Amino acid sequence: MPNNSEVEILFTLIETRYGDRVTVEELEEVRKGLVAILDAATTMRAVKLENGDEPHQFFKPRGDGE
Amino acid sequence: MKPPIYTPISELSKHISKGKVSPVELTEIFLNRLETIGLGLNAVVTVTRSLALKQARKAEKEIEEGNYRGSLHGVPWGAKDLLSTMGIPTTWGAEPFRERIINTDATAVKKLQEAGAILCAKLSMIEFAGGMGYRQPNASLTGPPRNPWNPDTWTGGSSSGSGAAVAAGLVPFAIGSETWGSILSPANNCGVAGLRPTYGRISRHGAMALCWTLDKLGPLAQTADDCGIILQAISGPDPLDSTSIQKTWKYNPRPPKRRQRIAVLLGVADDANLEVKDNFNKAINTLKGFASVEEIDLPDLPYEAITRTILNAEAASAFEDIVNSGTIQHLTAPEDHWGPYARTALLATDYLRAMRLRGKMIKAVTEAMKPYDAVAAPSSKKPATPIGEEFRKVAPGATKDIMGAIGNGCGLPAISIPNGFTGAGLPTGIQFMGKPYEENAILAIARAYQGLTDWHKRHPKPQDA
Repeated sequence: MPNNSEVEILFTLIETRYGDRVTVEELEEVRKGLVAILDAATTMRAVKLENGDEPHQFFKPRGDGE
Repeated sequence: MKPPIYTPISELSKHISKGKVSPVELTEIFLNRLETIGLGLNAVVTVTRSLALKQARKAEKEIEEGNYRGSLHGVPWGAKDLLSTMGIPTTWGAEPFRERIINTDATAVKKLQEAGAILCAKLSMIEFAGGMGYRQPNASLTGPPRNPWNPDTWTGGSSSGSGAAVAAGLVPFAIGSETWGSILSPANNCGVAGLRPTYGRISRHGAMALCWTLDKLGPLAQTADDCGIILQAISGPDPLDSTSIQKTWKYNPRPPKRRQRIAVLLGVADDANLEVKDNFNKAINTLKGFASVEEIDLPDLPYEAITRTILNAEAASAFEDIVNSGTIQHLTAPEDHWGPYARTALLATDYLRAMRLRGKMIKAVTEAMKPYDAVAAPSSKKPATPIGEEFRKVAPGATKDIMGAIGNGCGLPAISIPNGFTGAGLPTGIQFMGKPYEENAILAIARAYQGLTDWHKRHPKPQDA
């Protein structure tokens, strides 16, 4: 389960950005979506990573340096 | 000769090359079906009649003159409406883009044009390929895409029209896309073959981006063999897509010389619908006729959380302008008006953690799959759901789909083919997920299975369609 204060802080950010576009009921659904996203984050944060565990993404400078 | 509505490409192409089937007449047949059955199923956004007939006449002339280009020459097809096409609207399934024209041809479209295939339609899809978090089928500018096996049920998505069009015999094949489930789901629900290739196998240039490191294009067709033929035509390096695989890929339709090895993830069908589970178990017994089947387990990692976080973060960025501009307020599904807001608060550190864990996931999955040609599982845990039913009743991110999470997160190829029907007459599917770059291995298994079964030879009755 995500930390409640983290949910509230990030929810306030969303409300500030988009609060005027949604109804109270829709905002409640957005909150559920946020909790699900933070649930996934909490699960991932529980896995130990080492300093050398780099992001798995493709990046190389442009050009023919090799 | 009977109209070759459901004739596999390998057979159809023989008739076309020998002049026994006219590409112009063939195209007329499929255009008429698209304009009648297709519109009734909400499977079609645009029928490209004048372009199709122009391409068909050209193909017919070339073939008559002895300039036959290969298996797709003169064969009609349909494109998921996220592939850009010169001079034809590309809507991404979204009402605000109904008239929008992106004046370029996607690389896949160009390659099929070069192969002599005939573009007959832009096919319906879930708006933004589901990128706004839809929860029910009525999330497309066409209205809810209806399943040819029972129009009161859903096609699956987001390549909804691609699945329906192949199943209803509106085109011999279609191109769809998958970020997570969007080829395998309609292939399952509509009872057709759907191939999700290795990430990078087909150039994404000119296709809508939902999630740059997860998006793949792929074919939906009558058989696994058809998928191999189509993949060869549209794969290959592309300077316009830096992630495209630099090696060319050749389809190998010959059976392997050794007994194939298939793995099944421990408990993968435990929470599936009973009929889905039953059909899967029967399919496993059939597979044992030509392959070994063993249960395996994966190390404990948050696979679904990793792939879901990557998808959420990249989609938040890919659609930032569309969300902030208020364009989403005009989408069809009410939940898509606010669905994307939550993920705009996803932290950069969490996205990077997901990308770091992705490396661990790839290592774990690669190790587990090393002795095997494929991992088998039900393509979906349930058959097509009712057209008016909310299928995602829980908050986004909570859907259990380990195969989808590791398959898409690791960029692995997979094919879904039909493996039976429910008592209500809805198809179910089995998927074979392979090692990266080894599409030929999963195609060989799928082909062998289709050689022993006839599920792919059953089609919806015309009155149903």
